[in-house]
Amino acid sequence: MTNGPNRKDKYFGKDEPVDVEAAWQRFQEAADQPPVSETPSSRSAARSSKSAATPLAYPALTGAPRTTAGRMRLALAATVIAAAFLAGATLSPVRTIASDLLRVLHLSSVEEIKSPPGKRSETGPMQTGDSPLGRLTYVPSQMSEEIERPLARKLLGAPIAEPQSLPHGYESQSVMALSEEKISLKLDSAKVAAALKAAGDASGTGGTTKTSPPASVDGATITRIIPPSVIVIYSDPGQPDPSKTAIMLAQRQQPILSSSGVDLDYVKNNLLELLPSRLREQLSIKDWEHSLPIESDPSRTKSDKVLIGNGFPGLYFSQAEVHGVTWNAGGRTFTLAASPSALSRSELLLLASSVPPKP
Amino acid sequence: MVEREKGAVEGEHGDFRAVFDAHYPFLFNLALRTTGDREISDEVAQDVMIRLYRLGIAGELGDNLRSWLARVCLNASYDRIRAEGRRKHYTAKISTESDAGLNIEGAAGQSAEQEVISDETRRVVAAILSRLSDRDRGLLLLKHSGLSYQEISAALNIRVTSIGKLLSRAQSRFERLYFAEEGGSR
Repeated sequence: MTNGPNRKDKYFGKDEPVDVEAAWQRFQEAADQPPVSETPSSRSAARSSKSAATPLAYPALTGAPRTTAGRMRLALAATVIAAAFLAGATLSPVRTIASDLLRVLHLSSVEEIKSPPGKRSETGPMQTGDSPLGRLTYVPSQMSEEIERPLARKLLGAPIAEPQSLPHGYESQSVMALSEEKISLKLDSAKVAAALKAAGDASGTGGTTKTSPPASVDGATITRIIPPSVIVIYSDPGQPDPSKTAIMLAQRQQPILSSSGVDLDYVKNNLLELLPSRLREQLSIKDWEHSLPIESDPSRTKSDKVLIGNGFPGLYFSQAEVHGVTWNAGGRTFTLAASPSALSRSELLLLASSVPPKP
Repeated sequence: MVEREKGAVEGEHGDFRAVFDAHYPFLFNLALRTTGDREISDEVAQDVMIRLYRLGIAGELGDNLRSWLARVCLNASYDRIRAEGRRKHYTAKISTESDAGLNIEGAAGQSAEQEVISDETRRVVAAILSRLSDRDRGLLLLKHSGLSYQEISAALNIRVTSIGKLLSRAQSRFERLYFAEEGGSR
């Protein structure tokens, strides 16, 4: 062995001088970019986020968790809720025509719809009841306790996709599931006619719609089913508080949209005219055959389109204490989310690119 | 820990400035020894500092702060190496350079007084380190970055009484690989 002290220095060298001042300037710029967690405003935003997702039930998150797994779930609540929000498990439940349509017309790929301003105060839990177009029936998904992987595979109907380049030290800690969510809108022709007329009157053009609803509309039902989601939580047990730096991957089969008694094209071509003009303008540029409208509140969620692995289009979103990306690949919708303190945006997108299938 | 005057504190990050000044050079040099790449090392050191800042646990960590930073820095460096495929790149590079009869031996033969080794030597060392186990690599990097046995123990979750023996073995494995890269001349 030839490990004299001088020889070691030849291998590893001594510390190089560092321009700490320049590094500090870069640090300040970078630290300011994503929202800093645990500020009063971010905590408020997190509460708001949770409130918006009240249709989801989180029985494990009530009370003071005593176990590590419980604390981890609690810390991940905002992450899961935000991810579920953007994965389509719930939409902003504005009880308006716009929200009803957006709820029902979830399709396959990701398109973001900014919420109209001035509507946030109307938000409340989505629930079964009368809608301006008919009757809305909502069966919310439920968050499970930790489940075994065989059950998760069964719920997913396929093997669980895993990130291939988890940060060092990270491992799968638990698997949970969101049960199926089902939303049905049973149309009432009188209400539809009134809504179409009102929309036309409001447009000031003598009517934006050119047709009255066909007779088949009455009692026709549009149903959207979001299959169960499997959520795998990864963390590094070596971290002082693994829950703060946990990473979550949610995945599910793509939603199923069906109708009885009404042509979906009719909905597309006519009922969408009922949407507020700002939403309609956004929707008019979408590929309806392959689009999943996601309603987001731009005051709370920053987002932009990204490419996952230079192949699959996705939507990056950032809230106060969580950021993530959702994308479709291989017939599944994925959402990868973490605290900004766990993964930077570039690390998050890189990790998302490692989730199979790859382009 | 570097002490700074109050007047040097800047902006909302000011309270963190002393921590940054004290530990950023350590992080940069640890990342540099691990990755062999200055640009990546700067990014890794910045990422680790941002992570510490956002977690807000610098005060809680107390005497364990440097061990925590070291572990996070090592992990982040490994991640970068893996993500960018640098391990393969380095392996190929070393192979090519060995075949060409160049410069690993020259690097080993540099003056013992030389304080700052060349970028090329750093890359070669980083490539060889990448072939070691995480534990061996961590032991060597942290020891040569100036951590005490106690700090290494905390960073790598290894009993402090085992550090000396494990470090010696890691050094031997490193040197065997290093000399093997020189074409088995030693």
